[in-house]
Amino acid sequence: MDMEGADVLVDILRCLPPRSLAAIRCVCKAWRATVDDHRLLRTDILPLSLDGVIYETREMDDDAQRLFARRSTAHQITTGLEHIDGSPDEEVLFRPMYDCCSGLILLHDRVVNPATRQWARFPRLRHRARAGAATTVIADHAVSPHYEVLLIPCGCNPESVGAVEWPSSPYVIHVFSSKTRRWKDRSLVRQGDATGTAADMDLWPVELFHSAYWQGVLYVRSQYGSVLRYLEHLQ
Amino acid sequence: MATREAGKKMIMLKSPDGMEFEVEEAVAMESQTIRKMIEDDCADTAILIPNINSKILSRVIEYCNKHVPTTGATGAAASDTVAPAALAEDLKIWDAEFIKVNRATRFDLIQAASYLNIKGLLDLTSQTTIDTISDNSLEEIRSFLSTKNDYLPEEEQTIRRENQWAFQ
Repeated sequence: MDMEGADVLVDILRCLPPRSLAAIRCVCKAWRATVDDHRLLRTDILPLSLDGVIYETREMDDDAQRLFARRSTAHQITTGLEHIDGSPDEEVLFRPMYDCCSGLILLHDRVVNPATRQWARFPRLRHRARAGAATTVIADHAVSPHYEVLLIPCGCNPESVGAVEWPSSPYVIHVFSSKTRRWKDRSLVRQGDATGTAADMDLWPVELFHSAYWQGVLYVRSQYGSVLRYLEHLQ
Repeated sequence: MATREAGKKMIMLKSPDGMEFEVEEAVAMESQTIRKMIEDDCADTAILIPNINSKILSRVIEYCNKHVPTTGATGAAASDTVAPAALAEDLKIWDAEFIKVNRATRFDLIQAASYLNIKGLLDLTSQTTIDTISDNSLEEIRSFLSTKNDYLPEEEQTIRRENQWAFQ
């Protein structure tokens, strides 16, 4: 039975990650037609190519983001991140980019795609959860069209005793998913030994937080130069 | 004809290749499509199931027999003594065995489950297919779909280059 064009098959293909869909396009002409005719591969967020670099300057002006790009692509990319929805937010002007991943830039209350000029706000978490936590955004368009914003507690919990192991296990982080548009708690279970105690974490202020997301793993720099490694599977 | 045997209403299902299957109404009603026909009183005589041959239809009936809610069915007294969790675990193992079929049969089952609107069977066959495709390389996907590569080598190179990130 020929399956290539069947509706039920298209529904199945819709559940596949972009990486598999790209592979299916190479299988044969009929399968490529199925993928392309139903626009299963989101070409608006693909292909993944480097068109430019946005960087911040430390100058005290109100347009601190600069673009480094070829002239041919520079006009498409915006650096006016704080004006992107047409209503400049006072807070944004003084709060720089928090993080970036796969072409998405995380500001204090929104995620911006400077190449497509699209943006989306995410709801604010209650103040207590935000205090002493670092925010980071993760996305991998080869795996999912969705992104997640993670709120990772950095300092030790004032309610816990200083002698508590670090990283504690379970380690609870807050996750906002663009798919469900909700914040949810996620518990991470530590593999391996603790690197110290929670009291040591006073030496790790939020300002020194650095993270990188690569092929399903989130690397977070911890105190004393060690690196925490989280397996993060985008939904 | 819909008949009565041992107090259970029976339904006759016919495949286009002329085979007839007599099944309990409750089993047949695992299919939402058939359930609707029965509820609309369209099922007085045998129900012809178009497009689904006897080999696939018998597998579908086998699945429905296993998955029909056990309350009141004969030989299902075990459900009183076996914990629901153990029963679910047993079903999962049974499903995993059931779906060990070749690619053509699996695709026929997908289409049958879709036409007959049997959610459990559609989920099972779809998820297995999604797992097979997403866990395998291009060559393995090609052999799973048993399709012949009809691209010229240079054409395939071009298409690969369009989504180079997927092959890194």
